[in-house]
Formats: sequence, structure tokens, C-alpha cells
Amino acid sequence: MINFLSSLLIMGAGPEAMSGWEQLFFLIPLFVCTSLVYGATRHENWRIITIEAVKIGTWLVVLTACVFVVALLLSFFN
Amino acid sequence: MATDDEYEFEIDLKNRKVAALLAWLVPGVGHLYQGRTSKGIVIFVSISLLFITGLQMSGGKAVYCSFRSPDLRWQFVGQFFVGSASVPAIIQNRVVRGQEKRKEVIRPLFGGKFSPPSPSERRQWHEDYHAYFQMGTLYTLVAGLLNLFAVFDAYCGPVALFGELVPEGDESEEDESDL
Repeated sequence: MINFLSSLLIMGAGPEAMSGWEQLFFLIPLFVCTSLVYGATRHENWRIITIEAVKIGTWLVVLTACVFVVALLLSFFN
Repeated sequence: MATDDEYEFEIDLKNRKVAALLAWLVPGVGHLYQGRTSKGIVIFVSISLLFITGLQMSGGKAVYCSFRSPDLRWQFVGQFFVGSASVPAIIQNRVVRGQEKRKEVIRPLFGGKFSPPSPSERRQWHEDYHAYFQMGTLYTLVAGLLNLFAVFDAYCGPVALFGELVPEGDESEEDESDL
């Protein structure tokens, strides 16, 4: 978490490896920015853009969660 | 000019080609040129945030242009769309590959920023930055792909209005004339 915050604050990434859970935090800005920009390129009205961004964001979270669960289940057989 | 009847406002896309070029050069600037200020600011902040954060967490090494085996940097195709920030990588590629061809000592420009690495350098980057290098690559790649959407939006207007650029009445009139 500290690594993630330090990176976001543009303090530079530390040389130590981040854990798998820490990597998940990096998805938050990705989801927010992707949803906002995608919504903004589809509509012109900010109310609609916000609704679209929330929908896309939810869809991204659900899709990523599904992939995460599948990867987690597969790791048990490894 | 695209019209959104639902909200009763018009979008003046001005010179579409200039807007698209500006949108590619600096994310959001094409929209500012068209007077779509709030959208331009959101696009500029979002894409810049992703790109700069990605570049920072990888120590400025995630963006480089190399299409020579074994280092086929396919991610650069996406990063290219982030605009002017990707141009130094192309210049570095031409400079370094030219020096390699002439068998000169490799002296990249800009202190080596955005230059394609040697195999040993690349291994060192992965050792130094671990997953930050991949994460930085992902951030800059997504930033580039999002700017591709923004360039399309600057050129054609919002995707939701795209179907409304051709008035619905035109098709029915053509059908009637055929009969």
C-alpha cells in the first residue's frame, strides 16, 4: 500500500517488489480514468457521462473480479 | 456539425482535422480548441495522470520504441497514441538503430531517456523495478489507447451522436423515390 501511494504521489517507486494485493490497488486509478474518458467520448452531457462512467467502472470491476477468481482457482491446482 | 436533440445543444467541431491533430499531440487540447472545455480538462487530467504515473513508477523507462527481435515492444503501438510524449521514443529509436548500423558507439540523445535498451539493460530494469515496470507499461499503454478514443471524439463527436449525423428522414425519402 505504501509503495502504491508513494508511486501515485510521484515520489518514485521503491526497489522492493510489491505483493499481489498491492498490485490490485494500482487498478483503481486505471478504472477511474478509463471509465471517465470512455464515458466522455460517448456522450456530451455530464449527467449521462457520469452514469455511463459508473456503468463502465462497475463492468470493469466485475470483469476483473471474475478473471481474478478464475486465476485464483487455477492457482490452487498449480 | 453534430446535433444532440435530446439535450438541445449543438457541438461545433470546428476544423476536425486540426482538432484531431491537437488531440493527438496533447490529450484534451483538441477539445479545448473546439470549446468543449470541461471535457478537454477531464481528458487531459485523466490521460496525463495515467501516463506520468506510469512513466514515474517505471523510472521513465516504460516508453521506448523497439521492433527488433528479441525486444519486440508491441506496447509502443498503444503508447504512440498518447501523442507528442511518444515522439522522443521514435527519434531515439532512429538515432540508436542508425548508430548500431554504422557500428558506432551507442550515444542516445536526451541522456538516454526513451531509448531502446540493450538486452542486459532490459534485464537490469526488470530487476530494479520488478512489477513496477510492467505496471508502468500498462498505465502508459492504457493512456495511449484512451487518447485514441479522445482523438476519435475530437474528429467525429461523441459516439452516441454518431448515428445521428445522417438524418433519419433521408433513408425513408430514398426508399419512397425508389418505389
